[in-house]
Amino acid sequence: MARFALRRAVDLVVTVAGVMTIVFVMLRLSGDPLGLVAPQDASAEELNELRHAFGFDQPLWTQYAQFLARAVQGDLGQSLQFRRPAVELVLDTLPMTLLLTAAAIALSAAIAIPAGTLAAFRRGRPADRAIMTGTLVGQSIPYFWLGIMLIMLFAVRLGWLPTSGSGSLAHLILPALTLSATSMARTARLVRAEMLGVLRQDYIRTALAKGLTTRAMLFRHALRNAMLPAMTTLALDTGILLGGAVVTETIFAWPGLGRLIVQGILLRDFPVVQAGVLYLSITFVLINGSVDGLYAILDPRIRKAA
Amino acid sequence: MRRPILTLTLALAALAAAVAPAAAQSGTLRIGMGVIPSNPDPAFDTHSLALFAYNQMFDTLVVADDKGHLQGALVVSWRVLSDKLTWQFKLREGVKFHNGEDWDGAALKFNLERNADPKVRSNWRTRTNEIAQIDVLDRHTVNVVTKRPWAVLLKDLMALGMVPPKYYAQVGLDGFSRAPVGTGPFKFKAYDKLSHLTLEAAAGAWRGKPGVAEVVFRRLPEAATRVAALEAGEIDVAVDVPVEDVERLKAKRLGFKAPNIAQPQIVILKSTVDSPLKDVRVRQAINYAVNKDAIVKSLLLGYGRVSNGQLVGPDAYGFNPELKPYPYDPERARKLLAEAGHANGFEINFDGTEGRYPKDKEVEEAIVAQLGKVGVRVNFKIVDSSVYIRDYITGKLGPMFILGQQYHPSFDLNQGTPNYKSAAPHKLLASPEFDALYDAQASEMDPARRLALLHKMGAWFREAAPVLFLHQFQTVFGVQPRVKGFEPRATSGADLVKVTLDK
Repeated sequence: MARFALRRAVDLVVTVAGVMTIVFVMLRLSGDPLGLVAPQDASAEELNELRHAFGFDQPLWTQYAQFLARAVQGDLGQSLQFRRPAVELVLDTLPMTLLLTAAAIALSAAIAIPAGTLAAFRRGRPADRAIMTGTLVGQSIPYFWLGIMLIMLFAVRLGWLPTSGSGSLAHLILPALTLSATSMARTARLVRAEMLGVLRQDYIRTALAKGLTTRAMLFRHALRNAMLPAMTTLALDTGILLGGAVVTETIFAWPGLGRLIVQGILLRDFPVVQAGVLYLSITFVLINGSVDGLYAILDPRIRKAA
Repeated sequence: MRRPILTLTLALAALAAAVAPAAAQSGTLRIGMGVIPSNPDPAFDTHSLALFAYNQMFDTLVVADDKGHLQGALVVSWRVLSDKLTWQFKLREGVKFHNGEDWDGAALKFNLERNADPKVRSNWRTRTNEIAQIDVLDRHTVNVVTKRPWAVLLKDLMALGMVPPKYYAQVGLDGFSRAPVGTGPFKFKAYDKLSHLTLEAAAGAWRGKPGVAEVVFRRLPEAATRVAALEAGEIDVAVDVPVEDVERLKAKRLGFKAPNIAQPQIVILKSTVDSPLKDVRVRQAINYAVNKDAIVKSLLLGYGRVSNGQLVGPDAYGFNPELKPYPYDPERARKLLAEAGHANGFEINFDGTEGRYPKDKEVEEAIVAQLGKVGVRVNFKIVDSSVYIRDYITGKLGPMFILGQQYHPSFDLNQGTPNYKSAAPHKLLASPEFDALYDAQASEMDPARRLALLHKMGAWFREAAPVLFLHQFQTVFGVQPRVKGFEPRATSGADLVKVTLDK
């Protein structure tokens, strides 16, 4: 166990360092954020002064060395647009993105796993066809359109839920649903495919032959074996959703990190992007690590191999 | 059967009467906008919507009326002494900041110095560049001395929201932006950069007692969401409603206001780099080749006005009423191009934006198509918004590129025009004639003579055509019927003191 944790810790450091280097270089490929810090009527001298004050006139490697030296001390710089420490901005918004992602993944799992199981069990019947059609729609709808449609129906037409914003459970429902659509559809299809394979296995026939109820067979024996690939996609989806919640966060005015980072990229607010990506990559590595750990718990074979 | 209902109705009516507050000041005005200030400190955001929010919390020295004429605010009167350099300001007396601090000469001096302080990095810091010295004569009289005769000093300073010096010294730059204090009719309550800025009515403000107890500026970046929130009754005012939605929403009894705003859309025609645009006939031809009326009518659905061949509209000081728009005349454009030696047209690069200005991509595409009809082959490219302003201020765009030439908040033709000077890093224009016209109006201290010079500068601009003059767009405000007294103006969004809410 200690070895497992140590290896993961090394992974974390290497991954995060790699990601930060790539982000640092990529951000600067298209030049400096002078447009963000300079008034539009600045003179040539004023522009040069600002370049110098921010160190944009230094060679890239000098800037990188300074960035690393400060980052190690926990200083990721000040946001150029909000004039707040970048870390503070990220820590303000990261929980909102985690909450939204967790809700979306939970919703996805809660609906996709029973739906996939049901579809496999009722293969070829109307229930299966309805569920498969639903997943096809879910996978092909753009987030943007789905979000707007949900707002029009549940907030404007029916008035059940708020259109946007945050602050209560009711505010979470529509964005989580929007965000989960693709993942839900993908997971349901995968669970169905896995279940179809598992249901053909000998031990399922044995389980039924020894007099287990269909429900016990499905959920105690079949589903457990079909779960591993589903968990893998859900874990991967968590990463995608963490970084890809931008559209959803924009439509629903959800004060999350994805939106903060994209706005940072658009305005070339380097410190915010760097700090945001740092925290996201740490979160992502941690989630992957915990999923690996969960595998070991769910599947004795992995435990032995490790 | 009837009696219980009657009793119930009476009881409810009595309850409603008891609950309704006696004072007029009640309720929360909720305003949805695409952006809210990126920082509650008024030195740090120049977006016109940020100024709308700042204007409720802070006061400036002077304000502009709907024609760009100055009116006193925290400074009630001013005069320029005979040296043409010294401005004597008389301050409004009896004004207090929300924390009880006095608005006085020391506060004025502090604010101008703060804006110029390189460590503060105010986004308006170029606005105090011309100030050489500030002398506080007494509590309500201040002399501000400029480095050279500078006619637009007050218009430059119009952008600055005044903050209290003692409080600021106590809490510092960072502390101030967490709990800002001003002299406006509303005071700061709460702020979350990605969600909202909330203000509450302040007592004893010189601009009057607000009709609502609270104002919330909600950040709703997506226009469709903003419209949905208005339809669902979650917000009282939606700022910037897409023009396509207006007719549908009118059927729902929502009101709409669309004042002209101070942002003309233009396309810069750079004559500083080697291209056919160096020839004035080519630049004029481009102005004749584009159908501005059609753009306003079919792309903006009428929510805009065609520019009168100048950089400002009638709401600005220096607007020249004599100047007419370039008519749409492709024949004349072809003739001018032929005279300039481009009978077979030419190729030119055009940098555009998407999502930066209302309908910008559609407008750009219309321009490309119409220039194609007179033989100008346009290589059109959309430049990423992340580098657009930087490439603009460092002179890298073009030779043709789109721009919103903002003259908010000065409402003076002078604003923005320094960028056309030969020495400016923008490299838009290199004309000794223009440089002289610019300097003459900026240093002319006599208002009547200065206005004449501005008119001359405008006329020169139309003839020399360093830009393709397009239109000014209107921002559409969607308003709930319960909102009374909400009058958006080009100059300040709207003064929310006068707004009341029906029950």
